[in-house]
Amino acid sequence: MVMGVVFGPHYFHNNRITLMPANSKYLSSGWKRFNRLMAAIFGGYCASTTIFVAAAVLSSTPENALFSGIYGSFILWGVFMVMVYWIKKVWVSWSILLLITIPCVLIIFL
Amino acid sequence: MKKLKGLGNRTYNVMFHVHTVTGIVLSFALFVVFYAGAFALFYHETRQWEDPDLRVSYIENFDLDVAVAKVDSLHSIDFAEEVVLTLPKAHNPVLRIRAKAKSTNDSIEGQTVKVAMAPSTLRVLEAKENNVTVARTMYDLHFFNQIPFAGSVIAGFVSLFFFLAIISGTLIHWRNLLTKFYAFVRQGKWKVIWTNIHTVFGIIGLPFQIMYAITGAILGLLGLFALPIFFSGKFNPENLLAKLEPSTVIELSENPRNGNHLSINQLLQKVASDFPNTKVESARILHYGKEDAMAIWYTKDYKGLSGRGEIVMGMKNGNIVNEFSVIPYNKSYVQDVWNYFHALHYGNFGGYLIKVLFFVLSMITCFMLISGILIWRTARNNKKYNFKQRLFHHRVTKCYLAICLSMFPAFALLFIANKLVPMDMPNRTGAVNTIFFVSWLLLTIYGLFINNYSKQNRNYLVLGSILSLLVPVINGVVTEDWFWKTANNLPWVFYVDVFWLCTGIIGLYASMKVKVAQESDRPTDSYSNQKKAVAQSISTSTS
Repeated sequence: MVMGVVFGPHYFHNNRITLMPANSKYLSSGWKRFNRLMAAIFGGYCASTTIFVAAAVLSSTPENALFSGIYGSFILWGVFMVMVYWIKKVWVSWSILLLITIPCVLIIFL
Repeated sequence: MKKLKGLGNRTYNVMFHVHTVTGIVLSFALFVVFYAGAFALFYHETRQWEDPDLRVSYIENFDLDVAVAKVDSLHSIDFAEEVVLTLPKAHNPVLRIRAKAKSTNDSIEGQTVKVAMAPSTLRVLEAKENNVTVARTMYDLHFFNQIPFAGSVIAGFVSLFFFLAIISGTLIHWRNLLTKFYAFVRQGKWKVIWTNIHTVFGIIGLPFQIMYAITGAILGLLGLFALPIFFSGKFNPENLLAKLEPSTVIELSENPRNGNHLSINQLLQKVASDFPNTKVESARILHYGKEDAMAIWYTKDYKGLSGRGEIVMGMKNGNIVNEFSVIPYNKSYVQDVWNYFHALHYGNFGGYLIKVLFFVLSMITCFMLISGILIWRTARNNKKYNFKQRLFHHRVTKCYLAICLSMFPAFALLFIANKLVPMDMPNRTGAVNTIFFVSWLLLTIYGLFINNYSKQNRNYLVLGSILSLLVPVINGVVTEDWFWKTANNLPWVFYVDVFWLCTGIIGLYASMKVKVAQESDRPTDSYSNQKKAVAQSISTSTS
């Protein structure tokens, strides 16, 4: 408490004193951490890329969808990574990402 | 001012952790990328400084047909293949012609002929292997191209995670986004100062950084996006390329007949009158001297985001072939998207104002990265951590600062090495690169022996400034193009010299302003030891 007051009002957060290194009670560890990281990087990649390629397969002007995807997929990848860390339960993030990826993969490869 | 609604406790802490981990892992790599990238923006402008052969006078009007005829008389060009002309520019005033020589044997392809000419006299310049590397080294370092195969992919991932750090950083700062917008606070605890620098410069640079994070990720990781496109088998890459650059699919007859057509200069004038304010950078001439000759003009205007063009002309009558052309400001969606991304990343729009602005914003970003490292360390320099942990934090910070801050003297040394290594030395680029990388390594190792961040900063600043001041002097001594002589006829040599001169003077002035702390930043193993060290430093400074 005292430390927080010393460091100034900048560290008051939502009327709670938050010291600078993040409070570890909110962070996952071990296998859960790895799972979350995989969801963010691998799951995020699959969902963000396939969504644009699937759109291109369905579209009458595939090249436009693909070139939108060049920008869009990387923006979406970043957003998905934040989403995975925002949502408390990793299985919820995995289900959202897989619900996007699986239909898109079916559209692309079938 | 109204505070925005912040994140919940859990989300705030998780985002904070994401920001900390991505930041501390990537900060030194990002520093290298942004620092080298800032210099690489001026790739073409540095060319004349690094290569004295390019210091020939620049003229715009000369006979291109005579130049092509001259190359033909020297090497007998096979005009059934393309002839590529790179036109002289103010900062690179040499005409380059590339073509295929006629093969003596039908089964063997002719050799590629590369000729450089001074445009004013059409004198053929001495053919040398590529022996200068300042701009190239900085450009390669910008995406770790020195690491074979993996370099650009690593840079792509660095960019992608930089984007993650930007989003998470903005989210944790969200509540104070408005109230702390101009918080240029210089007083108070170091942790508060570094935090304010980090957030204020982070928010100022936000659009610039997001743009570079995304375009950088595209450049490095485009292959990952392309994976499902290729494996699906539903898209034809050639069709996509034809949509993007239709001139690549032009097919002319196999055995063209000889015929008359307009001269290259007449066509060039037509381009200039049809598209005022654009400049032809290079051209491809197909079937020169034949009946179905075609010219493809690659134009840029350096003004708008969509200013690049590929204008295809039939050489018989000078009519534009719209089917194969990419007309500036009148492009398809695909061509515009591709064009915007290139113009944004390379700063090829808005003239030199944008390039200078991007350079300054890159330096601000570098400053933000350094302040981030120092927040990380300062927030961990307390009793919650044991001695071993604090020693680790100190060593990481010291190492990161040494790598980052030593880039300034190392870059000045790269410019100096370019002038000191003789021009006709075999494998000259290898020697210059070795000098640069070894000196960067040695400078970094030197920094590891300094346990005081402010002293580290001051020493690198002094070293870098002295080396910067040497750059124009050594250029003057070696090439005799002193900066007071070059201002009129070789402006880009002048600008590079003056840039280093000003950097050196400002750096020396700034180094005098640096207050070097007395006590070491290395943590001591107990609280009493720390007290003893402080008492000692006070007694030595007063006596």
